[in-house]
Amino acid sequence: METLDSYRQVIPRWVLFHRACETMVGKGVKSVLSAPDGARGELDRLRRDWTANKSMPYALDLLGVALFSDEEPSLEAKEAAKLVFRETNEGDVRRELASVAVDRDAPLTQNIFSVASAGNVKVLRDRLKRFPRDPTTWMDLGFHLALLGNLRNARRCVAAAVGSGGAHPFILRSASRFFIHAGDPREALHLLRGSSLSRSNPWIVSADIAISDGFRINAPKVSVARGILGSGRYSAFELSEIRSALATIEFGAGSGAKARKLVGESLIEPTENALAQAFWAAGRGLVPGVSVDPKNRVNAFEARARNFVAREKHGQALEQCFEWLKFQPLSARPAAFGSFVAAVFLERHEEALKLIDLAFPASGNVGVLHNNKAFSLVSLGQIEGALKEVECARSISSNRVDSGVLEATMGLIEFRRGDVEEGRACYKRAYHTIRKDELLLGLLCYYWLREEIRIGSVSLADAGVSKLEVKSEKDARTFAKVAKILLKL
Amino acid sequence: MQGAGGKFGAGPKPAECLVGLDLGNGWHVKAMVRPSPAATGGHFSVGYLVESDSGRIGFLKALDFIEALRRPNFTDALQEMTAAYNFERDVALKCGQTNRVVSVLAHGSVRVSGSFGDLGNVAYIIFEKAEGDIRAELAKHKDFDLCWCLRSLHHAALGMNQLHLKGVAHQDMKPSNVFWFMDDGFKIGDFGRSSDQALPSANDLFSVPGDASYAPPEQLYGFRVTGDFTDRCAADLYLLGSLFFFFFLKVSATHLLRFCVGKLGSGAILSGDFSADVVILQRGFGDALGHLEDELRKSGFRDLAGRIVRVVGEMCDPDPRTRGNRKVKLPCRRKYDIQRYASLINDITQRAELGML
Repeated sequence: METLDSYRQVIPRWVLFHRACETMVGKGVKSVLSAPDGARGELDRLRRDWTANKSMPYALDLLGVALFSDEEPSLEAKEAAKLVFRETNEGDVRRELASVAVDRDAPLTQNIFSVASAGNVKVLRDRLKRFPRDPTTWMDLGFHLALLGNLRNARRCVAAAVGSGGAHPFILRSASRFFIHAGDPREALHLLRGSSLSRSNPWIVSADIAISDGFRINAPKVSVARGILGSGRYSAFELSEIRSALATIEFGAGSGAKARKLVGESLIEPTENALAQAFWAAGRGLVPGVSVDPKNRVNAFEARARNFVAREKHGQALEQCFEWLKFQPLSARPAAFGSFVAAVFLERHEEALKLIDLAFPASGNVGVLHNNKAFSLVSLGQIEGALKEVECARSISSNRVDSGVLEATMGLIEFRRGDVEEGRACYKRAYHTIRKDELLLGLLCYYWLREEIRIGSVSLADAGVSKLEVKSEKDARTFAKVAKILLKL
Repeated sequence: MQGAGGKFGAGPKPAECLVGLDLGNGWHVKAMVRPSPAATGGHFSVGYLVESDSGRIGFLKALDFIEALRRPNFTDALQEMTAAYNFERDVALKCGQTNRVVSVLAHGSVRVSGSFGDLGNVAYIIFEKAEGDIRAELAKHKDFDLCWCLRSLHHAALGMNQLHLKGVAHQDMKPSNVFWFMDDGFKIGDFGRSSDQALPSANDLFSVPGDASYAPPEQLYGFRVTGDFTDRCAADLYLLGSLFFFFFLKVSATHLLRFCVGKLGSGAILSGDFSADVVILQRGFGDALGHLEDELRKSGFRDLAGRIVRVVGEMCDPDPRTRGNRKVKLPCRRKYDIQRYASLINDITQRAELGML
């Protein structure tokens, strides 16, 4: 089984554009697109025009200016809004514009095109036929195609988005995440470093550091990041991921105090990614705890899942993993994390399989998911299916730890097939590969011991444990001590 | 000058006393059109209906320079006002001989009798008299006639092209500046905010020379691509395209764009730097175009809706660097060539007219 604390960095998220907008807070659009000086005189003139000619064009002229004015809506504006309400139907954008112009707190419906485009490649294509110079829509289309596994066309969409909107952090970060998904983190870094924002924008520099560090390619731009932090030009929100990325590097370098300070600062006004990073660090014991409650944070599904696991509320953690996967469907991590929680702590293998199957269209080439699927299948008695998944995982996985984990899963399969000797041989090979990882070793021993007890070769008393149960990572680690007994069998 | 302030403080000003005057060039002032001064083109003017000896009706715009005398720095204001008047007159004379631009019928000055003394000299320009403007015409009708709308837009495009061929950018193209003539269709007028390539003026220095409610987004950001007349042509193309929104949705393209961007909830992403924010503006504009297409389809123009929004998409692209003809990569006059769009609009109009047969 994949564990919960494999290395994590604040790799940029790739989400649909309207979803990215949800997570952003701060100054409103009005401050940038507000009417220039003289709007007051303009309003007076439009009020007079409206009074002289009470019709739709005059009403909308007045309301359009009133919408971005600091003044309280005038009687004329309210009267004009009433006319627009009468002349338009429900759902008409002019009706909504009128209602917001006279009542700033009027609820805004979600943009119908953005919502429709969230699940509909055709709608996105239609949008691009209408207006091809829309980089965020190209990026959304690329996202959907990548989700469908069509990486070739997704790459074209990403190229079109970068070609027309490559100066915006949303485009650059999304595109870099695409290249990571496509297995090309060097290209992701190349894209970020080729941008004019590469030395000045905190969103781009944080992505650069996270990718350089996360994939161990090139030296992270630590000095550039420190320069940005010291510039005093950016808000705590804008700096949260750069601080988080630097903190992770400091942890790696053994500078715990510096890292903890940075994590604390990253939580002043954190993004959901920075918050998740803090919970990850807390889970590894790198920081004593996280002061921010992720409960009401927008899209903070990963942070909530990690928080629930830390509090041993595994059922709620699993629910959050499903939400996390919906939020990050291109990431294998929600399914890997969630299937681990479901299979190990809850023994709800059907739900583990459901989560993995949801992730497969986009993450079918991730060995960990195949391994976790094999584990849950064999736990449900589906040995043939489990063997196929192990084969798949073997063809994909390349690193030593992955192969050790696969050997352990194979050991379980052999035990369930009745080949005890081969099962033990597999577990022994796995032991030699992963013995330095205390958690993995504890899990290996737990499952191996469970199988030995099932066939009656060992008892709980022989092993020196009081109960055969894992409800937390701490529980799992305690089983490492039975390794000596098991290796003698 | 103090006396002038006191003299004109409460009573009528010279520019308001032209009714009944014979201007001495065959024109007679019949009636005041606007009882109070209305700001146009950055200087104050008073409008009148005038009639020629031959019975032709014209619209007279009289310069109210007394307004400048009331300002604390009146010498600057007076200079600004007279320069603006001269500029508008010269541009109108330069372009007024073309068939889609409102013509100047006469200009000059007239002395108003009474106690005004030398201050009673009023400068004026007489234009062709229109029946109304687009906004007023649209206000009269609940439903729109697609062929009429498209033909009007075609006329406006021709007028703007004629201006550009003379080296003039209008800068303030909006529904109330496109005039309706019973016999001649639509013509464009009001050059108070225009830029003449050959004649520098104060308008060249404004980042938003025209009405901010209709201005292209780059002007609201103070962003310039080339920093010369080409930028003005790009803005004119946007303003012309934005008339489509007004015709079919009765709302300014800029207001709708602002609203759609606001709806994205992208406040934190907008940085105030145009080059970075244009991505968000383009998304909002894509939504605005969707609303336009939706309205056209709802109104029964399914066949032409796609064609219209594609043309509008090129004309009103929020990014001036990509606005206009996509085959021309670099921003230049050819990229913003109005002639191309006049032809495209004419093509759509003819298709609509054929569909009506």
